[in-house]
Amino acid sequence: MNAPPARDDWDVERIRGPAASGLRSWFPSPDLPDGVRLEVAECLPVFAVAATRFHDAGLDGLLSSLTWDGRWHVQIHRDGVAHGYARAVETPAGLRILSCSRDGLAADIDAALDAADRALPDDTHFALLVEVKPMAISVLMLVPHDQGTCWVVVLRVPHRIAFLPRGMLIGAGAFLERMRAVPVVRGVDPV
Amino acid sequence: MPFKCATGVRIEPAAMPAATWAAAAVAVRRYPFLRQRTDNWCWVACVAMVEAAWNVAARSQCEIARDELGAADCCSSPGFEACDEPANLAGMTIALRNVRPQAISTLPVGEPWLQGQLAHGAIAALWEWDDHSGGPACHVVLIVGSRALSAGRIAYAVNDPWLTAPDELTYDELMSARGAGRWTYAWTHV
Repeated sequence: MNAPPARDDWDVERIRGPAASGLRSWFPSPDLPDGVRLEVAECLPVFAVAATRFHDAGLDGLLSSLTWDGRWHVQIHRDGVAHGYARAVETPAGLRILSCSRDGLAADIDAALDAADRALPDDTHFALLVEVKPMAISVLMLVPHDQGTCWVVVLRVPHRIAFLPRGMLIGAGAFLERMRAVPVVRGVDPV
Repeated sequence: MPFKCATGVRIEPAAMPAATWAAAAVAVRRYPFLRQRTDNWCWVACVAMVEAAWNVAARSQCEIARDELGAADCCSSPGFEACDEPANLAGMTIALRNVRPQAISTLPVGEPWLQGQLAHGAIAALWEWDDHSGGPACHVVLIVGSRALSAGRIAYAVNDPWLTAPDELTYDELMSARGAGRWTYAWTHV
């Protein structure tokens, strides 16, 4: 699929209930003290985009390059506070949990959603999680339902990329412009 | 409707007895979780986690980079910029064998193999990302254990040095590098 999920698909309740059920075996009772309340909170579709698209595409081209493989990011709250997240995918047999993490990305997403609610109080956008793995970058992208401005909140970025401020709402055009200067993170060369 | 939802859906913990839980886990030496100190030092952080698990050397990440890259000094600059370099496959093999001489470099060949190898220690997994530009882009994570979930599925404990905490992945998620690439190479017995 090469477009954000259709508005009709944007019903997180159909993800949240099955996710809560699917996550049960990931959280055995010996791991959790009595009285702790874990909940599935927000669910965001996870999009990917090729690193090359930042160099050869304009904003419209970039948005049409976002790819979605059915993967959802599932925020997990512990007593109302971000505790971690799961990744899940819809299959014909139902929702399947792929991974579970206590990474701080969950808290970053909560803060970004708070910022988005303050800045965009009207229901004119929907939120996607966009990941550019080779660049080690994750952003919350706020896409207008029809006409309007696309906004981005940078969640994760390599240490040395100071020109992509984290946690701030920036226009998607400015984000694209800055992304053109971001190198890939190599880690280990496969040669 | 605001972006942030007001209420959640409760996750009921699985009612698995503690003894059953312990029996379902593959016992692997405890590997501490360490974050990589620079953008390209996933390999350094993995070596540091192996060192800490086996209680040898206890070098800092910049000392490991200095030793393995053959640099004069990697620790002086605050951001370690001078030594923020990737390893290559041979260099990673040497770095791991400096800590664990029995380390084996190999290809990942299926889930039964993975389960069997975890009996010998952690596994360093090389993920190659799709859709990179400007040269190859790879990442190394450490698989440090596994445990049974319901319905016969298995969760693998992974120390991914890019993240801030350990996480658990299914085998498919390991093989697909979290859906963003492929698991292409491995070092076992580490």
